[in-house]
Amino acid sequence: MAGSRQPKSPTFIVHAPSGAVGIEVTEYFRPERIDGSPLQEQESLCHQIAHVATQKCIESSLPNLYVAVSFERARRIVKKDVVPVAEAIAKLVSDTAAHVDWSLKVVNDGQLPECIDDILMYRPAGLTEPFVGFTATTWVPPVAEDELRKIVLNKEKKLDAYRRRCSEVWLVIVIDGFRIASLSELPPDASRVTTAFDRVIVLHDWRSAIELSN
Amino acid sequence: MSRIHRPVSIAPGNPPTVERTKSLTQGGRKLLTGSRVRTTLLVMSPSPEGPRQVVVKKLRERKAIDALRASYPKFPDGRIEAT
Repeated sequence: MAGSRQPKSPTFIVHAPSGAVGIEVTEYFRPERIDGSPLQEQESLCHQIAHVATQKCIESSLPNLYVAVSFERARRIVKKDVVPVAEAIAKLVSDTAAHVDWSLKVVNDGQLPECIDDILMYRPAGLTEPFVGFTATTWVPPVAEDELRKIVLNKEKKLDAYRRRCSEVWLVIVIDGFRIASLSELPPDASRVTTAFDRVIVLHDWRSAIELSN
Repeated sequence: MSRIHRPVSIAPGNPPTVERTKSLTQGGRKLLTGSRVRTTLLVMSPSPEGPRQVVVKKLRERKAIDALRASYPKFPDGRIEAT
């Protein structure tokens, strides 16, 4: 069945002199939800809105502004919001671009979709086309250790298949400090996990590798 | 709780430009009891979603293995095969 295939190989195999080391790479996402929707889905929808809004601003030959949208985090965005919200952003840019000197902040007083908090527009020198991105602010929570354990348990289901090709298998869990949906602090006393993997490593912010087991 | 709006990158067209402000507390006040308090601001360029998601996933996995090799001294020597 499509989408439920169990890959027989880990993400990478390092052909070391001592034998093949399989490395399975996966990502950690914060377990919080916004009205039932996972954070990574909400973040993805924000990216899509920004992307579509950028295209609409370019298609409409709007001025070369840098537009930073701040979304209302407590409000769930759904897929069907993407185009209308993007259009509302492009319309606001069109209507107010003439008033942007260096920057202009427009607070949503009801003239924009409810999922938007405010929009900041800048007119930086050298910009060759309009661009829409988004900003987000969050309190950084400690990593949910139960969630880490769930990831490990879930990935262990594939271990037997991986071991057919690899003498050693590692699991790497990426905690990405540059994505709101993943951004978490790993406590210095992060607990070790009991696992059948030869190593479980957390790659934190793409900079530090912390072993959780073995 | 007020937000801080201070874009840290305004360069579109590059690979996802994301930067982070330094950790800070607000006037030394502990706002969430028992929690680490940090305000983080991200400015993001759009990342390809939808049809290109698989490609992005592969790129992120490659980035992860390269970062691990650079930061983990026990990373084995040898040719890396992406499966």
